[in-house]
Amino acid sequence: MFAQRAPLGAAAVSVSARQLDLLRCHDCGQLARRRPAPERHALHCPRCDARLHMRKPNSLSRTWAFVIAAFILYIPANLLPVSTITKFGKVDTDTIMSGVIRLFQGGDGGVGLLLFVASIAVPLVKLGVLSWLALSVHYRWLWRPRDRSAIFRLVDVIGRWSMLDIFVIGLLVALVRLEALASIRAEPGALAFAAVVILTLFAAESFDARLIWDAQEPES
Amino acid sequence: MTDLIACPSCDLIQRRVVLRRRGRAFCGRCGALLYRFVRSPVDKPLACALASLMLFLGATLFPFMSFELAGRTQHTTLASSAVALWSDGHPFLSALVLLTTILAPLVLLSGLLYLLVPLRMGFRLPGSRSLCRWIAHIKPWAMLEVFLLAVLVAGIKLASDAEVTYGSGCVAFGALIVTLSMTLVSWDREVFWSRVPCSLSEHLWAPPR
Repeated sequence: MFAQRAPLGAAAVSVSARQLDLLRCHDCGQLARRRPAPERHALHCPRCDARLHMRKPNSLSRTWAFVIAAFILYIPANLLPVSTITKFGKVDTDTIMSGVIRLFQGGDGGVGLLLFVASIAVPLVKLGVLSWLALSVHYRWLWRPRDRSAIFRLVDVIGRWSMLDIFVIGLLVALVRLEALASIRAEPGALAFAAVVILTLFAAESFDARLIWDAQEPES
Repeated sequence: MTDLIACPSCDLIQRRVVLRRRGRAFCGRCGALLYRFVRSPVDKPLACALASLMLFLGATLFPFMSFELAGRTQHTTLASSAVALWSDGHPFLSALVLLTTILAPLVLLSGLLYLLVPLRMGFRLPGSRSLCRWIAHIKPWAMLEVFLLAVLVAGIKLASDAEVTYGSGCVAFGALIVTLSMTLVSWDREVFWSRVPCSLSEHLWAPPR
Protein backbone atom coordinates (compact mmCIF):
# COMPACT_ATOMS: atom_id res chain seq x y z
CA MET A 1 0.00 0.00 0.00
CA PHE A 2 1.25 3.46 -0.81
CA ALA A 3 0.43 5.96 1.85
CA GLN A 4 -0.42 9.26 0.29
CA ARG A 5 -0.76 12.40 2.32
CA ALA A 6 -3.64 14.62 1.36
CA PRO A 7 -1.86 17.94 0.91
CA LEU A 8 -3.28 21.04 2.48
CA GLY A 9 -4.81 23.63 0.23
CA ALA A 10 -3.05 26.77 -0.90
CA ALA A 11 -2.41 27.90 2.65
CA ALA A 12 0.28 26.01 4.53
CA VAL A 13 -1.21 26.94 7.88
CA SER A 14 -3.53 24.40 9.41
CA VAL A 15 -7.00 25.62 10.00
CA SER A 16 -9.89 23.67 11.45
CA ALA A 17 -13.50 23.78 10.32
CA ARG A 18 -14.42 25.19 13.72
CA GLN A 19 -12.09 28.17 13.26
CA LEU A 20 -13.81 28.94 9.94
CA ASP A 21 -17.20 28.54 11.63
CA LEU A 22 -17.95 25.54 9.41
CA LEU A 23 -19.83 22.52 10.71
CA ARG A 24 -18.96 19.06 9.45
CA CYS A 25 -22.03 16.85 9.13
CA HIS A 26 -21.45 13.74 11.21
CA ASP A 27 -23.55 11.61 8.87
CA CYS A 28 -22.38 12.63 5.39
CA GLY A 29 -19.26 14.73 5.84
CA GLN A 30 -20.76 17.83 4.22
CA LEU A 31 -19.37 21.15 5.39
CA ALA A 32 -21.95 23.78 6.18
CA ARG A 33 -21.47 27.37 7.18
CA ARG A 34 -23.06 28.35 10.46
CA ARG A 35 -25.55 31.16 10.22
CA PRO A 36 -27.45 32.57 13.15
CA ALA A 37 -30.49 30.33 13.23
CA PRO A 38 -33.90 31.50 14.37
CA GLU A 39 -34.89 30.47 17.88
CA ARG A 40 -35.86 26.81 18.41
CA HIS A 41 -34.65 25.87 14.93
CA ALA A 42 -31.91 23.27 15.03
CA LEU A 43 -29.27 23.30 12.32
CA HIS A 44 -29.76 20.65 9.66
CA CYS A 45 -27.36 19.36 7.03
CA PRO A 46 -28.27 20.82 3.60
CA ARG A 47 -27.37 17.53 1.93
CA CYS A 48 -28.56 14.69 4.18
CA ASP A 49 -30.84 16.55 6.62
CA ALA A 50 -29.10 15.20 9.75
CA ARG A 51 -28.82 17.47 12.79
CA LEU A 52 -25.62 19.48 12.71
CA HIS A 53 -23.41 20.05 15.72
CA MET A 54 -20.03 21.75 15.94
CA ARG A 55 -19.00 18.94 18.35
CA LYS A 56 -20.89 15.91 19.59
CA PRO A 57 -23.34 17.32 22.17
CA ASN A 58 -22.26 16.85 25.81
CA SER A 59 -19.46 14.61 24.61
CA LEU A 60 -17.49 14.54 27.87
CA SER A 61 -20.48 14.10 30.20
CA ARG A 62 -21.86 11.28 28.09
CA THR A 63 -18.45 9.60 27.84
CA TRP A 64 -18.01 9.81 31.63
CA ALA A 65 -21.50 8.44 32.24
CA PHE A 66 -20.86 5.37 30.05
CA VAL A 67 -17.31 4.87 31.38
CA ILE A 68 -18.39 5.02 35.04
CA ALA A 69 -21.36 2.69 34.42
CA ALA A 70 -19.01 0.26 32.64
CA PHE A 71 -16.46 0.42 35.48
CA ILE A 72 -19.20 -0.42 38.00
CA LEU A 73 -20.49 -3.35 35.94
CA TYR A 74 -16.94 -4.57 35.34
CA ILE A 75 -16.92 -5.76 38.99
CA PRO A 76 -19.91 -8.16 38.80
CA ALA A 77 -18.81 -9.15 35.29
CA ASN A 78 -15.59 -10.52 36.77
CA LEU A 79 -16.85 -11.76 40.15
CA LEU A 80 -20.11 -13.47 39.10
CA PRO A 81 -20.01 -16.78 37.24
CA VAL A 82 -20.46 -16.51 33.46
CA SER A 83 -21.15 -20.15 32.69
CA THR A 84 -22.00 -23.49 34.28
CA ILE A 85 -20.68 -26.64 32.67
CA THR A 86 -22.30 -30.00 33.43
CA LYS A 87 -20.32 -32.96 32.19
CA PHE A 88 -21.30 -36.55 33.12
CA GLY A 89 -23.11 -35.22 36.20
CA LYS A 90 -20.14 -33.11 37.36
CA VAL A 91 -21.02 -29.42 37.66
CA ASP A 92 -18.41 -26.65 37.24
CA THR A 93 -19.25 -22.97 37.59
CA ASP A 94 -16.76 -20.59 35.97
CA THR A 95 -16.08 -16.89 36.16
CA ILE A 96 -14.18 -15.31 33.27
CA MET A 97 -10.86 -15.67 35.10
CA SER A 98 -11.42 -19.24 36.30
CA GLY A 99 -12.36 -20.19 32.73
CA VAL A 100 -9.05 -18.76 31.53
CA ILE A 101 -7.13 -20.63 34.28
CA ARG A 102 -8.96 -23.84 33.35
CA LEU A 103 -7.81 -23.43 29.74
CA PHE A 104 -4.21 -22.94 30.85
CA GLN A 105 -4.39 -26.06 33.05
CA GLY A 106 -5.94 -28.03 30.20
CA GLY A 107 -3.00 -27.18 27.94
CA ASP A 108 -4.84 -24.65 25.75
CA GLY A 109 -2.69 -21.72 26.88
CA GLY A 110 -3.00 -19.89 23.55
CA VAL A 111 -6.79 -19.83 23.68
CA GLY A 112 -6.61 -18.92 27.37
CA LEU A 113 -4.37 -15.97 26.60
CA LEU A 114 -6.67 -14.88 23.77
CA LEU A 115 -9.72 -14.94 26.06
CA PHE A 116 -7.79 -13.16 28.82
CA VAL A 117 -6.81 -10.35 26.45
CA ALA A 118 -10.26 -10.03 24.85
CA SER A 119 -12.38 -10.32 28.02
CA ILE A 120 -10.27 -8.88 30.82
CA ALA A 121 -7.46 -6.73 29.40
CA VAL A 122 -9.21 -5.02 26.47
CA PRO A 123 -12.26 -3.67 28.40
CA LEU A 124 -10.04 -2.47 31.25
CA VAL A 125 -7.49 -0.83 28.94
CA LYS A 126 -10.29 0.73 26.92
CA LEU A 127 -11.99 2.18 30.00
CA GLY A 128 -8.65 3.42 31.38
CA VAL A 129 -7.68 5.06 28.08
CA LEU A 130 -11.10 6.70 27.65
CA SER A 131 -10.94 8.11 31.21
CA TRP A 132 -7.43 9.40 30.57
CA LEU A 133 -8.46 10.99 27.25
CA ALA A 134 -11.54 12.57 28.84
CA LEU A 135 -9.33 14.02 31.59
CA SER A 136 -6.81 15.26 29.04
CA VAL A 137 -9.58 17.09 27.18
CA HIS A 138 -11.13 18.43 30.36
CA TYR A 139 -7.83 19.97 31.49
CA ARG A 140 -6.98 21.07 27.91
CA TRP A 141 -3.63 19.26 27.81
CA LEU A 142 -1.34 20.20 24.94
CA TRP A 143 0.65 16.98 25.23
CA ARG A 144 1.16 15.00 21.95
CA PRO A 145 -2.31 15.37 20.39
CA ARG A 146 -1.37 13.25 17.38
CA ASP A 147 -0.48 10.29 19.60
CA ARG A 148 -3.59 10.74 21.74
CA SER A 149 -5.67 10.75 18.53
CA ALA A 150 -4.00 7.55 17.34
CA ILE A 151 -4.50 5.87 20.74
CA PHE A 152 -8.20 6.73 20.65
CA ARG A 153 -8.61 5.27 17.17
CA LEU A 154 -6.78 2.10 18.21
CA VAL A 155 -8.92 1.64 21.34
CA ASP A 156 -12.05 2.27 19.26
CA VAL A 157 -11.10 -0.51 16.83
CA ILE A 158 -10.09 -3.19 19.35
CA GLY A 159 -13.13 -2.70 21.64
CA ARG A 160 -15.43 -4.89 19.53
CA TRP A 161 -13.21 -7.95 20.08
CA SER A 162 -14.39 -8.07 23.70
CA MET A 163 -17.60 -9.61 22.36
CA LEU A 164 -15.57 -12.80 21.82
CA ASP A 165 -16.49 -14.35 25.18
CA ILE A 166 -20.20 -13.66 24.72
CA PHE A 167 -20.14 -15.38 21.33
CA VAL A 168 -18.16 -18.33 22.70
CA ILE A 169 -20.72 -18.80 25.50
CA GLY A 170 -23.57 -18.46 22.97
CA LEU A 171 -22.01 -21.10 20.70
CA LEU A 172 -21.31 -23.49 23.59
CA VAL A 173 -24.86 -23.10 24.93
CA ALA A 174 -26.24 -23.96 21.49
CA LEU A 175 -23.85 -26.87 20.86
CA VAL A 176 -23.66 -28.58 24.24
CA ARG A 177 -27.21 -29.33 25.28
CA LEU A 178 -27.38 -33.04 25.98
CA GLU A 179 -29.10 -32.60 29.38
CA ALA A 180 -27.35 -34.51 32.21
CA LEU A 181 -24.72 -35.96 29.87
CA ALA A 182 -23.25 -32.60 28.99
CA SER A 183 -24.72 -29.11 29.00
CA ILE A 184 -23.56 -25.53 29.33
CA ARG A 185 -25.64 -22.66 30.69
CA ALA A 186 -24.99 -18.92 30.65
CA GLU A 187 -24.99 -17.25 34.08
CA PRO A 188 -25.66 -13.67 35.28
CA GLY A 189 -21.98 -12.71 34.98
CA ALA A 190 -22.28 -13.02 31.20
CA LEU A 191 -25.10 -10.48 31.25
CA ALA A 192 -22.99 -8.00 33.26
CA PHE A 193 -20.06 -8.61 30.93
CA ALA A 194 -22.17 -8.01 27.81
CA ALA A 195 -23.38 -4.76 29.39
CA VAL A 196 -19.74 -3.71 29.98
CA VAL A 197 -18.88 -4.32 26.32
CA ILE A 198 -21.89 -2.38 25.06
CA LEU A 199 -21.28 0.51 27.46
CA THR A 200 -17.65 0.79 26.32
CA LEU A 201 -18.85 0.85 22.70
CA PHE A 202 -21.23 3.69 23.57
CA ALA A 203 -18.51 5.49 25.55
CA ALA A 204 -16.13 5.47 22.59
CA GLU A 205 -18.97 6.56 20.29
CA SER A 206 -19.80 9.51 22.59
CA PHE A 207 -16.21 10.75 22.79
CA ASP A 208 -15.44 13.42 20.20
CA ALA A 209 -11.75 13.08 19.23
CA ARG A 210 -11.78 16.59 17.78
CA LEU A 211 -11.87 17.92 21.34
CA ILE A 212 -8.24 16.77 21.69
CA TRP A 213 -7.29 19.29 18.99
CA ASP A 214 -9.54 22.13 20.07
CA ALA A 215 -7.21 22.86 22.99
CA GLN A 216 -4.31 23.34 20.54
CA GLU A 217 -6.05 26.08 18.59
CA PRO A 218 -6.38 29.69 19.64
CA GLU A 219 -9.96 30.61 20.50
CA SER A 220 -11.43 32.58 17.63
CA MET B 1 -15.81 24.68 -1.74
CA THR B 2 -16.95 21.25 -2.92
CA ASP B 3 -13.49 19.67 -2.74
CA LEU B 4 -12.83 20.80 0.82
CA ILE B 5 -13.24 18.25 3.58
CA ALA B 6 -12.78 18.36 7.33
CA CYS B 7 -11.01 15.48 9.06
CA PRO B 8 -13.60 13.55 11.12
CA SER B 9 -11.04 12.93 13.82
CA CYS B 10 -9.42 16.39 14.21
CA ASP B 11 -11.50 18.84 12.15
CA LEU B 12 -8.58 19.99 9.96
CA ILE B 13 -9.70 21.49 6.66
CA GLN B 14 -8.10 19.73 3.70
CA ARG B 15 -8.52 19.47 -0.05
CA ARG B 16 -9.74 16.20 -1.54
CA VAL B 17 -7.10 14.93 -3.97
CA VAL B 18 -7.21 12.29 -6.70
CA LEU B 19 -5.38 9.23 -5.41
CA ARG B 20 -3.13 6.97 -7.41
CA ARG B 21 -3.88 3.25 -7.60
CA ARG B 22 -4.04 1.60 -4.14
CA GLY B 23 -3.39 4.98 -2.55
CA ARG B 24 -4.86 6.09 0.73
CA ALA B 25 -5.30 9.62 2.02
CA PHE B 26 -4.43 10.37 5.63
CA CYS B 27 -5.10 13.51 7.60
CA GLY B 28 -2.03 15.73 7.55
CA ARG B 29 -2.42 16.62 11.22
CA CYS B 30 -3.75 13.64 13.19
CA GLY B 31 -2.95 10.80 10.79
CA ALA B 32 -6.50 9.40 10.54
CA LEU B 33 -7.44 7.54 7.34
CA LEU B 34 -9.65 9.88 5.33
CA TYR B 35 -10.45 7.87 2.19
CA ARG B 36 -8.85 5.34 -0.10
CA PHE B 37 -8.56 4.64 -3.81
CA VAL B 38 -11.27 2.39 -5.22
CA ARG B 39 -11.10 1.73 -8.93
CA SER B 40 -14.83 1.12 -9.39
CA PRO B 41 -16.49 2.78 -6.39
CA VAL B 42 -19.98 1.58 -7.39
CA ASP B 43 -19.36 -1.76 -9.12
CA LYS B 44 -16.93 -3.20 -6.57
CA PRO B 45 -19.04 -2.72 -3.43
CA LEU B 46 -22.11 -3.78 -5.44
CA ALA B 47 -20.52 -7.04 -6.58
CA CYS B 48 -19.09 -7.75 -3.12
CA ALA B 49 -22.39 -6.96 -1.39
CA LEU B 50 -24.26 -9.31 -3.76
CA ALA B 51 -21.75 -12.09 -3.12
CA SER B 52 -21.94 -11.41 0.63
CA LEU B 53 -25.72 -11.60 0.68
CA MET B 54 -25.67 -14.97 -1.10
CA LEU B 55 -22.99 -16.30 1.24
CA PHE B 56 -24.98 -14.94 4.18
CA LEU B 57 -28.02 -16.94 3.05
CA GLY B 58 -25.78 -20.01 2.80
CA ALA B 59 -24.32 -19.39 6.25
CA THR B 60 -27.76 -19.08 7.86
CA LEU B 61 -29.54 -21.89 6.05
CA PHE B 62 -26.93 -24.65 5.94
CA PRO B 63 -25.68 -26.63 8.98
CA PHE B 64 -23.13 -24.58 10.86
CA MET B 65 -21.46 -26.73 13.49
CA SER B 66 -22.28 -30.03 15.12
CA PHE B 67 -21.22 -31.57 18.39
CA GLU B 68 -21.01 -35.30 19.03
CA LEU B 69 -20.56 -36.91 22.43
CA ALA B 70 -21.15 -40.52 23.44
CA GLY B 71 -23.10 -41.29 20.27
CA ARG B 72 -25.43 -38.29 20.54
CA THR B 73 -25.20 -35.42 18.10
CA GLN B 74 -26.32 -31.79 18.40
CA HIS B 75 -26.63 -29.89 15.09
CA THR B 76 -26.65 -26.09 15.03
CA THR B 77 -27.16 -23.27 12.54
CA LEU B 78 -25.96 -19.68 12.73
CA ALA B 79 -29.13 -18.63 14.57
CA SER B 80 -28.88 -21.43 17.16
CA SER B 81 -26.87 -19.36 19.65
CA ALA B 82 -29.54 -16.69 19.83
CA VAL B 83 -32.32 -19.31 20.04
CA ALA B 84 -30.56 -21.30 22.77
CA LEU B 85 -29.80 -18.20 24.86
CA TRP B 86 -33.44 -17.15 24.53
CA SER B 87 -34.82 -20.50 25.63
CA ASP B 88 -32.36 -20.59 28.56
CA GLY B 89 -33.85 -17.35 29.87
CA HIS B 90 -31.29 -14.79 28.64
CA PRO B 91 -33.36 -12.53 26.35
CA PHE B 92 -30.82 -9.68 26.50
CA LEU B 93 -27.85 -11.85 25.50
CA SER B 94 -29.99 -13.52 22.85
CA ALA B 95 -30.99 -10.16 21.35
CA LEU B 96 -27.38 -8.98 21.40
CA VAL B 97 -26.11 -12.08 19.59
CA LEU B 98 -29.00 -11.89 17.10
CA LEU B 99 -28.29 -8.22 16.41
CA THR B 100 -24.53 -8.54 15.95
CA THR B 101 -24.44 -11.76 13.93
CA ILE B 102 -27.64 -11.72 11.89
CA LEU B 103 -29.72 -8.53 11.93
CA ALA B 104 -26.95 -5.94 11.58
CA PRO B 105 -25.11 -7.71 8.71
CA LEU B 106 -28.40 -8.43 6.94
CA VAL B 107 -29.66 -4.84 7.19
CA LEU B 108 -26.21 -3.54 6.24
CA LEU B 109 -25.99 -5.70 3.10
CA SER B 110 -29.55 -5.22 1.91
CA GLY B 111 -29.31 -1.50 2.65
CA LEU B 112 -26.14 -1.19 0.57
CA LEU B 113 -27.81 -3.04 -2.32
CA TYR B 114 -30.82 -0.71 -2.06
CA LEU B 115 -28.41 2.20 -2.57
CA LEU B 116 -25.94 0.66 -5.01
CA VAL B 117 -28.23 -1.03 -7.56
CA PRO B 118 -30.06 2.24 -8.36
CA LEU B 119 -26.75 4.14 -8.19
CA ARG B 120 -25.40 1.79 -10.88
CA MET B 121 -28.39 2.55 -13.09
CA GLY B 122 -28.42 6.25 -12.37
CA PHE B 123 -31.47 6.86 -10.20
CA ARG B 124 -32.35 6.99 -6.52
CA LEU B 125 -35.03 5.11 -4.62
CA PRO B 126 -37.18 6.80 -1.96
CA GLY B 127 -35.66 6.83 1.51
CA SER B 128 -32.09 6.50 0.20
CA ARG B 129 -30.80 9.50 2.14
CA SER B 130 -32.03 8.29 5.53
CA LEU B 131 -30.86 4.78 4.69
CA CYS B 132 -27.36 5.95 3.81
CA ARG B 133 -27.15 7.75 7.14
CA TRP B 134 -28.39 4.66 8.99
CA ILE B 135 -25.89 2.37 7.30
CA ALA B 136 -23.02 4.24 8.96
CA HIS B 137 -24.68 3.76 12.35
CA ILE B 138 -25.39 0.04 11.81
CA LYS B 139 -21.90 -0.83 10.53
CA PRO B 140 -20.14 -1.11 13.94
CA TRP B 141 -22.80 -3.58 15.15
CA ALA B 142 -22.01 -6.20 12.51
CA MET B 143 -19.41 -8.28 14.35
CA LEU B 144 -19.08 -11.32 12.09
CA GLU B 145 -15.27 -11.45 12.25
CA VAL B 146 -15.40 -11.61 16.06
CA PHE B 147 -17.98 -14.40 15.78
CA LEU B 148 -15.69 -16.34 13.43
CA LEU B 149 -12.91 -16.21 16.03
CA ALA B 150 -15.45 -17.37 18.64
CA VAL B 151 -16.28 -20.36 16.40
CA LEU B 152 -12.60 -21.36 16.41
CA VAL B 153 -12.26 -20.84 20.17
CA ALA B 154 -15.42 -22.87 20.89
CA GLY B 155 -14.15 -25.61 18.56
CA ILE B 156 -10.82 -25.81 20.41
CA LYS B 157 -12.53 -25.75 23.82
CA LEU B 158 -14.74 -28.71 22.90
CA ALA B 159 -12.25 -30.65 20.79
CA SER B 160 -10.59 -32.25 23.83
CA ASP B 161 -13.60 -34.31 24.88
CA ALA B 162 -16.02 -34.38 21.97
CA GLU B 163 -16.23 -34.57 18.19
CA VAL B 164 -16.84 -31.15 16.62
CA THR B 165 -17.59 -30.90 12.89
CA TYR B 166 -17.92 -27.76 10.83
CA GLY B 167 -20.75 -27.74 8.29
CA SER B 168 -21.04 -26.06 4.91
CA GLY B 169 -22.69 -23.07 6.59
CA CYS B 170 -19.47 -22.47 8.46
CA VAL B 171 -17.47 -22.51 5.21
CA ALA B 172 -19.88 -19.98 3.68
CA PHE B 173 -19.50 -17.91 6.83
CA GLY B 174 -15.71 -17.87 6.49
CA ALA B 175 -16.00 -16.71 2.88
CA LEU B 176 -18.59 -14.13 3.95
CA ILE B 177 -16.05 -12.48 6.28
CA VAL B 178 -13.78 -11.90 3.27
CA THR B 179 -16.45 -10.53 0.93
CA LEU B 180 -18.05 -8.40 3.65
CA SER B 181 -14.77 -6.72 4.55
CA MET B 182 -14.12 -6.13 0.82
CA THR B 183 -17.58 -4.55 0.58
CA LEU B 184 -16.98 -2.23 3.51
CA VAL B 185 -13.46 -1.25 2.40
CA SER B 186 -14.62 -0.36 -1.12
CA TRP B 187 -17.78 1.46 0.01
CA ASP B 188 -17.25 5.21 0.32
CA ARG B 189 -20.47 6.98 1.28
CA GLU B 190 -19.20 10.06 -0.58
CA VAL B 191 -19.98 8.14 -3.79
CA PHE B 192 -23.63 8.31 -2.81
CA TRP B 193 -23.64 11.78 -1.26
CA SER B 194 -21.75 13.46 -4.10
CA ARG B 195 -24.72 12.66 -6.35
CA VAL B 196 -27.27 14.09 -3.94
CA PRO B 197 -28.07 17.69 -4.77
CA CYS B 198 -27.51 20.11 -1.94
CA SER B 199 -30.63 22.00 -0.98
CA LEU B 200 -28.62 25.22 -0.80
CA SER B 201 -25.82 25.96 -3.19
CA GLU B 202 -23.57 27.65 -0.64
CA HIS B 203 -24.12 24.97 2.02
CA LEU B 204 -25.79 27.32 4.42
CA TRP B 205 -27.85 25.84 7.20
CA ALA B 206 -31.24 24.60 6.01
CA PRO B 207 -34.42 24.87 8.03
CA PRO B 208 -35.99 21.52 8.94
CA ARG B 209 -38.46 20.22 6.40
